[in-house]
Amino acid sequence: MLRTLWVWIGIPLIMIGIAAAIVIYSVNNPPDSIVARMLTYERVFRVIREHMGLLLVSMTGATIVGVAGGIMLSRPSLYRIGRVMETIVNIGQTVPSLAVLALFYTILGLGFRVAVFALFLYSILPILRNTFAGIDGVEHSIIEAARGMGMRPLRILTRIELPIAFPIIVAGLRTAIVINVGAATLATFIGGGGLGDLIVTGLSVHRDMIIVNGAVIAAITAILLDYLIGKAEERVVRWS
Amino acid sequence: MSIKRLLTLSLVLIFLVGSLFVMGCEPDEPTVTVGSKEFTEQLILGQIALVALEDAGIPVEDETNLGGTVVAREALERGDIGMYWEYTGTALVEFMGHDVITDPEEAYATIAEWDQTENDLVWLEKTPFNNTYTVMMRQEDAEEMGIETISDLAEAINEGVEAPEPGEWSFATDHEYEARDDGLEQLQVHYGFEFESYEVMDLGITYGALNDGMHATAMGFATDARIAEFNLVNLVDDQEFHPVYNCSPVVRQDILDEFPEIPDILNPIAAVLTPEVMSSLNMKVDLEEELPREVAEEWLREEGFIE
Repeated sequence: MLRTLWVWIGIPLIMIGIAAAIVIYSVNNPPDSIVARMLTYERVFRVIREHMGLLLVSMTGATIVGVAGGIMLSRPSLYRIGRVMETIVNIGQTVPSLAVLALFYTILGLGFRVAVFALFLYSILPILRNTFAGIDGVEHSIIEAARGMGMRPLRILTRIELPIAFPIIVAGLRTAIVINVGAATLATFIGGGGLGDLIVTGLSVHRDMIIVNGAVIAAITAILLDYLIGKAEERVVRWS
Repeated sequence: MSIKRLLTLSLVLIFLVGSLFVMGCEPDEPTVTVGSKEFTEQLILGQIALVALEDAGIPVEDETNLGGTVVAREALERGDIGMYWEYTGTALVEFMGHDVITDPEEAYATIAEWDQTENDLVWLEKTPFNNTYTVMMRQEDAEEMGIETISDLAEAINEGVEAPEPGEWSFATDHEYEARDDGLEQLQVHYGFEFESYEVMDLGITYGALNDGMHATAMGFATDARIAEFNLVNLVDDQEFHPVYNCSPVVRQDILDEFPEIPDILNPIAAVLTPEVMSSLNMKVDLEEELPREVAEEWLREEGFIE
């Protein structure tokens, strides 16, 4: 019980505490008027809210589309397309996130929604790939055995393939989230807001304190989300 | 004689002959070496000086595209180059260590006097263009509403005049302008108005965001090529809020002693370099991919400075 409390509440609180301490210290001890103007509680909360908005909306969409797409492509009838798609997705992943944002800026214009859309597309890739690879990697003999027992394809999917592929799918999710937190800091270039506001502003006026605040919050967000999903996965695996 | 000795001897010989050769290449007659920093506007200005001086029969040497501000300035102080174009605001703050000045004449007088007495460098006449922060609107909106200055804009916003596309008085800014002490916040305090909203983005896309109607106004730099390309206008900073960066040829005194006619050649040219002219010259190089030298020659010919 105590251990559960520590895992789910204690460690996250420590991480949030570190970020909060840095923010509180910086807001109360600005070295000059520029830092004082750019680092207020109001502004820090605003960029965190924007960042979480970018993250949640794009990740929710990407998870649904990525997992559903991965399952569909792993069906025997689409399997060949799946292999081709896997290659395309791998190539897509090599395009830098900044380039993806820049590309969508030229097509769709400025702002939060464009940034969300670009992040959404970018995050689909690792999720789709891992879902496909996870299901593809299930031992053939196991599926044969299930079929021999008279299981229908849908039941094989939900009872055999998805549970076995689960850790790999979650690994894809975790990769996507960590990439997404980082890539979302680039949204600021096209007016999407988020923690990148602090980082890029700090860079442009040479104020390290502003950069550190943005970077630390982003890093802790990534670590925390990755940690929580990892723990949740352990939970689910043990429980089933 | 051992091989080693032979090698050493030949190396020494090569060195001696080489240095004689280099020394022989030193120009005997005095020459005006024109330098410049590394960006488009500087390359064009450098070529304008080169072409104009050459046309007047002065021997010149092209050392444009030297690098950043510090490199160009040090080359000038050492005498490696005889002149280059420098911005009043840059020199004031970076070389003189003076505070920012927002009055063009005062900035020019201050730096010119200091450089003359301290460094034997002469600031020739400055350009009317002032490559500083600017507040821009689309030309057709500005004309339709009769807005020419930032004061006019402030008045329009305060009186609740209906905003052009996208329907509110929004402002596109880069990160630095939002953060600077002499940036967005003070601009609004100084002129006594407030934008209804603003969006922070990369500097390179504020011009496009304004042009595409995503914002009603935007900030940028006054001589950027895209101002000419997109038909934007710079609103006049009538209350002199932004620091000034007019540009002047800065020439060494010893070069001027040798060629006293230089001011008569360059001053009339600087006098007609308005922001519109500079922006369109920048556009020809940046967007139409002409060479700085061609652009300089073409413009000087059009204006009748050279045959």
